[in-house]
Amino acid sequence: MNALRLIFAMLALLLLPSCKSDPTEEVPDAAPAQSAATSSRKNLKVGVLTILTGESASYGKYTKQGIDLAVGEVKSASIDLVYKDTKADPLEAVRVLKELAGEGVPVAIGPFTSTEVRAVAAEAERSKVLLVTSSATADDLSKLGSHVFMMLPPNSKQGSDQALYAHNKLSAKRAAILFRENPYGQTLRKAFFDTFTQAGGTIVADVGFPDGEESFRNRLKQIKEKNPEVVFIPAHDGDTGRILRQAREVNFSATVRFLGADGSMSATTLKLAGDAAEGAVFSNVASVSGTFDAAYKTAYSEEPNPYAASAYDTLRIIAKLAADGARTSDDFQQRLISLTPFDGATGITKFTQQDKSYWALDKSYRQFEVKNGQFVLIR
Amino acid sequence: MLSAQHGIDWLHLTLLTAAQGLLLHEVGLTSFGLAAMLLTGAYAFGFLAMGTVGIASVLLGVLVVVLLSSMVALRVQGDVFAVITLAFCQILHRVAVGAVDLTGGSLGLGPLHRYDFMATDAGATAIAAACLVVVAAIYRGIGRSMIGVVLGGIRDNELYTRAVGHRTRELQLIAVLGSGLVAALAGALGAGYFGLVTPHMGLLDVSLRALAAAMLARPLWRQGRPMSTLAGYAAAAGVLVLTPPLLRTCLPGVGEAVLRQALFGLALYVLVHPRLAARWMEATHGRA
Amino acid sequence: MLGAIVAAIGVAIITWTLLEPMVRQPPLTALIGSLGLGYVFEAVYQAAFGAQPKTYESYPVESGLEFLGTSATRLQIAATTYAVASTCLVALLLRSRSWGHRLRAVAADPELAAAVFAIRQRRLAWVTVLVASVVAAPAAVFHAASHGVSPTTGSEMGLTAFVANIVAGRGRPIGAVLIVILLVIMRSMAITRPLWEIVSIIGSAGVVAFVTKRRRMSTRVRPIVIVGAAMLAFCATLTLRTAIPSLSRGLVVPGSFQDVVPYTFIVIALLVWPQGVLVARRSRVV
Repeated sequence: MNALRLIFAMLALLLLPSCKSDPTEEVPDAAPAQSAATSSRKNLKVGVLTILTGESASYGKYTKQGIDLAVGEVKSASIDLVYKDTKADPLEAVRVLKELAGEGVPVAIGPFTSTEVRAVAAEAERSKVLLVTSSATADDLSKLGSHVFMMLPPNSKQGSDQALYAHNKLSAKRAAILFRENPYGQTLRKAFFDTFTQAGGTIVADVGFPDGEESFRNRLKQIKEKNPEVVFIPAHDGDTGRILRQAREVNFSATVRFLGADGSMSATTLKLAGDAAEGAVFSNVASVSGTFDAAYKTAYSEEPNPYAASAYDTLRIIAKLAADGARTSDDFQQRLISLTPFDGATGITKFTQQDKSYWALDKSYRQFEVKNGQFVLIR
Repeated sequence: MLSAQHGIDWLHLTLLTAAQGLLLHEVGLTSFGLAAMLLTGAYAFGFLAMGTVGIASVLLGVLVVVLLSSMVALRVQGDVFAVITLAFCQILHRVAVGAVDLTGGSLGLGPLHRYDFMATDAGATAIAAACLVVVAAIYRGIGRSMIGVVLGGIRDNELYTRAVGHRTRELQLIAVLGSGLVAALAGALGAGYFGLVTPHMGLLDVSLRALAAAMLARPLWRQGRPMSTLAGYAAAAGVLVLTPPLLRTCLPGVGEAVLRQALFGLALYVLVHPRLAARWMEATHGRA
Repeated sequence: MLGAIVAAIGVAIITWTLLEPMVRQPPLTALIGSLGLGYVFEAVYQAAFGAQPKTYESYPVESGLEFLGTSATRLQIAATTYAVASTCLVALLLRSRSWGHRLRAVAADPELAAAVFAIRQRRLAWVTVLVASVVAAPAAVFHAASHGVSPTTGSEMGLTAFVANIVAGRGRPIGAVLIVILLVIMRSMAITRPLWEIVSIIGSAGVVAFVTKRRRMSTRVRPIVIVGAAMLAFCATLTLRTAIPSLSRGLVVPGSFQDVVPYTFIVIALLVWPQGVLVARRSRVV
């Protein structure tokens, strides 16, 4: 009887008309521009799958800031944004994509990480939700299908660019790689390794570390013994920040240059590394639009962020297609494939099919150096 | 608020809680290793869906893994059994992450080919509910048989039970094996629903969640006959799965994951606190 | 240092209010309660401060001091000194009549201790938990200063500490310290040394542990002998690798499997010595 009582109590809880449920309440502080949009029944729903809570929430914050800035500028009341928190968990990403599909969303921006994109791709195809990710870049996303669009070039291009920068601009002949053993780190590592050796350089150390590792001193000492001129760190911001700090603690020579990738370019890296980050060079797509930079600084009182710029462009493209009459996922797919070159904050966006999926291959990865605690564009 | 996914999570957690409850309340063993069994079942489904191995091999593989780990762990009892199962959980998780060629590494296996109805909410609910009914029937049958009585004897006083001639070690092994297979079934269901398998499914947190639900379920069945029904496990799993999204609608500034974690942490703490646990027992069973 | 003192006071208060009721429960029950409390605090910190790792901004990044072929920062030296000093202090306290002897009496037989020796168990439990918490709090500050702090900081360490106590055996807190050091060294060596070297060192320690147990060596001397054997084996393998450079190119455990080595050791140790590596085997009743 006690079990039955408890079950009845739970059913009563379910039926309680307690608090109103609103899709926009998924986001703690939804942008004001959305509130007006939700009142219209004919608005097109656009999903946003991003990381709103957890260790990687700063990435989701940048994405949201870029999207909210674009919504304010689009001046169209025809889009309803439906934010869903993936928590950087592939299973959660699948869950929330199913929720989006249930709400009749034809197109979604995101997910953020390549692992999540890979996880949701099959469900997205089955549920007819088009995915346009503003940040995922793992090379194997090419195999996912023609319903997946990447707003950035793949990791192999980024890894190659960093290798060529190290060899040509820094004149380095000996390089070491300290990579996170996940798809992001492994694809960047492979691209850097192949390009650097083809250019005539030597990889003197190639060391991996598992997810969740916090102490890198042993690995750094192994690398230090090999006397590299540059150390490439394809990892996430928490890892890179600790690595730079601990590299100073194990007395790496001041002449050794540290290179990172877009996944490390965040305030977390700078906080964890402190002044040990000075001189480190990271690659990312950059904002090339003075207009976007000024608007971003005015709205958020901080320097423009590449993730925000990419998300900004993504929403503007979707809004443009929606204004042209796109309503279903097939409509968006056809119009994205035939998109005339779109001049946005991160450069020209035009999609090219590689294997099965579509990539914006015409963009370039730029180099940012840490100077006085800030990421400064140098190339 | 609540979605079909929460319902499916509820059903899956009920299965896992039943597996944990079989060990905790029938045999008196605390195990942290159910996440490892769940992961085994999930990867078994993954290999089957990818066509890497046939169904017979998959079933045999799961049986071998569960049997071996059960036999090794049952060489010890009490706290030491718990620590060994904890070590198994961590080892299997690390192997799943590290053996990239076999398991796909941190990316896992996927997308998995499966029948369309398995991927829909209605289909996944129906399959999970059917599995629960079967497990409940098996539990009921065992609970009402001599095996159930002997298992209760092992929990209460193993030495006495052995002294009167019952084969306690063998029955413990059967119980641990059964628990592992039910957990593997829950893992396979999860993999079938999501269409992918990741090492995340085998984290220690999963075992602890099942443990919290099993401990919460303790007073919720007819006293002395925990195997007679899964209602207690379902109720406890429901509390842990359904309360966070309900609370979140009233606390929009707080993430659901944060609420879920706080809730099951609180459940673990309250249920072992000597005074608070006694009050919970009184409230659910009435004064003795 | 002020942060360490404040942390110690805060932890003592939390311990007194929330953890003290767990002290007289069986170890597993106390572990589950502590884990549950840990999850609640983790959720609260995440909601309050966010999940991104943070550092002590007032503490600068420092270079290491080179000595004896290795390097260590002032923070690491201070943390190591603190660890050694606190372990010695706890060892001394355990030998004291006012606390250590009473603790052992209660652990051996609580009812007898209360009835015959009039030991106030609740006060004893409170003092024990207080000492443990106050010792742990500055260690947490050292760790955070070195690695940054996030809501999940410390969860893995707490679990490792519990496991080490089970492996060492009941009533062997100092032995547990040695086991933890062994586990950390194993984890570190797993990725930097060839597998044959790790197996040799652990195997030597295991053989010596077995032999010393058969010969009923004193439990005070035994841990020292086992650790000594492991260190001798380490020096021997180092010498071998220096003399025969090709031995350095043996199979090395990949980074992702780093944790498998210490956990495998834990399983083997507990299967062979379920009562604890450093505790005499009780005679079997049945």
